[in-house]
Amino acid sequence: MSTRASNWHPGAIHVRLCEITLSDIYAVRDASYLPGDATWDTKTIRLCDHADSGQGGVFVYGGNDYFVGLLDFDVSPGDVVWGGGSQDSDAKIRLSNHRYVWQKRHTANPQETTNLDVKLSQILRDYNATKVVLVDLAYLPSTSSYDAQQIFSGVIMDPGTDEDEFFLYAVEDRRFDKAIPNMATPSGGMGPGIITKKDYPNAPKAELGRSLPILYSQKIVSYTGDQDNGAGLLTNPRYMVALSPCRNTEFFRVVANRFPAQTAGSGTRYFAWMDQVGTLATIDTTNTDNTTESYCDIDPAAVWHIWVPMSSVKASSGVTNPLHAFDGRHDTYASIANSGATAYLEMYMPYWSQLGQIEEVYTTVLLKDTSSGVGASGTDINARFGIYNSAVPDWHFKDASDTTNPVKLTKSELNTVGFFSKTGNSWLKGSGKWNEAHEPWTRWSWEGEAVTGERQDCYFRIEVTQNGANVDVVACGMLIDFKPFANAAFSRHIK
Amino acid sequence: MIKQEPWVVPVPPPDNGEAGRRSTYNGSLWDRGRTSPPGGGKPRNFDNGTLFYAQSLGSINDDGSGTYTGAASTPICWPSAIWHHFAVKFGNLPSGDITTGASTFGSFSEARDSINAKISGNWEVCVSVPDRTTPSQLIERLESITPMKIYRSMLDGKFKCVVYKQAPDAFDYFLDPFGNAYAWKYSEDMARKPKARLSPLDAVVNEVHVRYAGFAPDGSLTKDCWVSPDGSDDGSGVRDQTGALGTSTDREARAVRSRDFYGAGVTGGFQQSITIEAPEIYGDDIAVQLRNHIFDRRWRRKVMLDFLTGNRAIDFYQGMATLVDNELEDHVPCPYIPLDGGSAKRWGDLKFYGNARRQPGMASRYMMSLTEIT
Repeated sequence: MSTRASNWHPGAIHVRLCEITLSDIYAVRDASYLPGDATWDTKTIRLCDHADSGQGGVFVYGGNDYFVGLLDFDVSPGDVVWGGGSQDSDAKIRLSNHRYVWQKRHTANPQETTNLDVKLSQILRDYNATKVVLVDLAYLPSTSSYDAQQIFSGVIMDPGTDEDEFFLYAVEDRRFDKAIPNMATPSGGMGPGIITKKDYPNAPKAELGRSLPILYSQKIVSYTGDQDNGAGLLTNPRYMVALSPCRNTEFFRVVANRFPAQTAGSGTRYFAWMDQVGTLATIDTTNTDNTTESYCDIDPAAVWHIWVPMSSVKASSGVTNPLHAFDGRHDTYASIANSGATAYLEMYMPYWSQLGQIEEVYTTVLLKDTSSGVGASGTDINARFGIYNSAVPDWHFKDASDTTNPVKLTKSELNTVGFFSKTGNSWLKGSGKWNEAHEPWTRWSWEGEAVTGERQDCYFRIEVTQNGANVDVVACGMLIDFKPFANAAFSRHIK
Repeated sequence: MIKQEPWVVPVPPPDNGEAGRRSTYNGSLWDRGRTSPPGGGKPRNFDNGTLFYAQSLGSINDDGSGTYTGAASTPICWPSAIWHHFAVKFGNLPSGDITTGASTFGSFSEARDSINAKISGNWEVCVSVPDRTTPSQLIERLESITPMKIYRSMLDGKFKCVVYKQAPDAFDYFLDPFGNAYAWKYSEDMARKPKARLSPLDAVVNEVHVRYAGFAPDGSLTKDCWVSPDGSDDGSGVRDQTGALGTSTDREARAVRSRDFYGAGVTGGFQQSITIEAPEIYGDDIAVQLRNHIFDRRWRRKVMLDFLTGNRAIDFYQGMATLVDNELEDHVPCPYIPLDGGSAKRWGDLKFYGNARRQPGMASRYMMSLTEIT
């Protein structure tokens, strides 16, 4: 920090300076004076509180004359108060309303005779006083060097006068503090994130003037999970703060963040809030992302993805913290340990209203690195997971190859260093077993159907089959790929 | 919506070392769709209130020079850098009005490093600005989730970002002409009767909650990191502040002392809490540090000192750290109370944050108001 030595010197002489900037944007001033004073828009009135007797009644600093006229001032800087709101700095300034040498004769108009001098209040009445700066100048008599310390800078809010004095009330310059306009106040601000007819030719009138959301974040989420070792949406809703709402500007077109030009143009991922089931769907779609707007056209036939979380659980002995397998957190987990008998965790999935036509079904688990396999070889199966049918009782439409339902977990996989996630192949698609209209799964009912038509309970099961093996489940879920019905994403939260 | 009325004379904050109110960001995070249906009110498939969300693969990135984060083309996700970028890019503030120099008081570049140094990793947040917002509104939002202060200094007209530090850096201090942290002296700097006091009891809190990990679609907060006389939680279910007095995890013990001491000897006699809502925070480490910062700042009454001084304070920037010489001890004893079980302290043992307020008139007189750093 620059601490000036003269401020510490008991013998320093102090002069206070006041500079008032005028403007004349509407050319009030006589045009004949304009060419000579080319810097009219920054014309400055300079005043001081006392003159230097050796300088002819003015104080000369920086090559400029400061006329005596500053009578008094009271500056209130905004204090720094931790944890609280902000306070504007302001100043009250009292000036002498005497005559001020103002306009010099213009050389091109020699008929003008002398300098003009008018009362300060007349100048400040005729021309717009915009800015005021107060400076405390310190110097030592035996030197010619000055230390200037600005003590206030602000814009003039409230000028007033009487016959002897002129008063100014000024506050710190907050002209930067503009809001990006929106539909309610469509003008008066600035910023690149506004929906305009020019930038968004396809936007409906109702959207013009709205601001696009701005998102500061580096969290990336996808339905397959790009963050936190693959947890991603399995730990919904933890990372949902990374999403930014879009504007829906026309049929099947949503407009998202509009990013500054320096943003890496790596694309945008879209989600839809499924109000009926209280979670998000990810959308595979063709999107456009360029420097003028960021939007996507949602193909009516686009495939959406949605996670079905678990809602209740039952567990065998050997299982600890079973609820942690689907608590939406990546820092907790359920443990399933085989101590001589198969240990299992069985979780029920909520029945949902039909959101669309199911295309694929997958099951996934996310395991912690404390999981361990004990088989003789790395490929030995230590555990399985998938959809289980309680009535059969066996895996629902069992896949003997252990790649669709259930899905095997080998010794090597359980001994993986770090988090490990595994997703089974799309199961039972097109087999004629569930995607027929009468099948429960077509109706988003996670249950089996006996040949007699009776309902069969189905649930998500993780079992550990090898004695000594342990599976620590951070998250698990069932992923549905579907083509949404037309009303699938209709929100009931319209304001 | 806060409507600014700059012609209204500002009201000074309460003189108790703490703000009269605490900024929090409440309510639903985001707009829930359009305000009225298009198409004459007829629902038209997806075109009516559907909540779509987007996620850029990289969010808003820094420019090629690393103006805001110090690293070119990296995501901007640190509080001071977010405001810096927002004010310049969306508020149209001239970049020259921002203090950015190295080892400079109030520098934004130093601030981002200082904030990030408070935790293992970086003070990384997710901030969505979905609707009409001004830079000053964003300041309030960011200051409520970060131990920092952003303001415009009248001394040079530039914006400063000051970070609250229990051990300020050299550039945070008010320096003498030789570059050393200055200690205000009774004999040289103080007019008659400097006033020592303790911050009011109503600013003390011994229970702090930081609710965080926002769930964007409905605005709910999914985690709570807290400490009180009865327990603590680091946000992940672990009780983390059970250490004995004097250790780095002694906040439960200090909270008990605060509760009983200010309760006039009655066990459980004084208990005040504060809750911070921080949907922008998702990391446990950040929530823990924010909780600790608020608790440490407010668990006991702080030593405060007001005195009238001369022109020496002319370039004392608001929020600078500073010291007081022990010379004052002979005239005005330091009212420090060793509530944490440590030893009594003199003026020279403490550090302060201060404000300098110029007195009306031409004479260079400043009222210095110092508040102990805790």
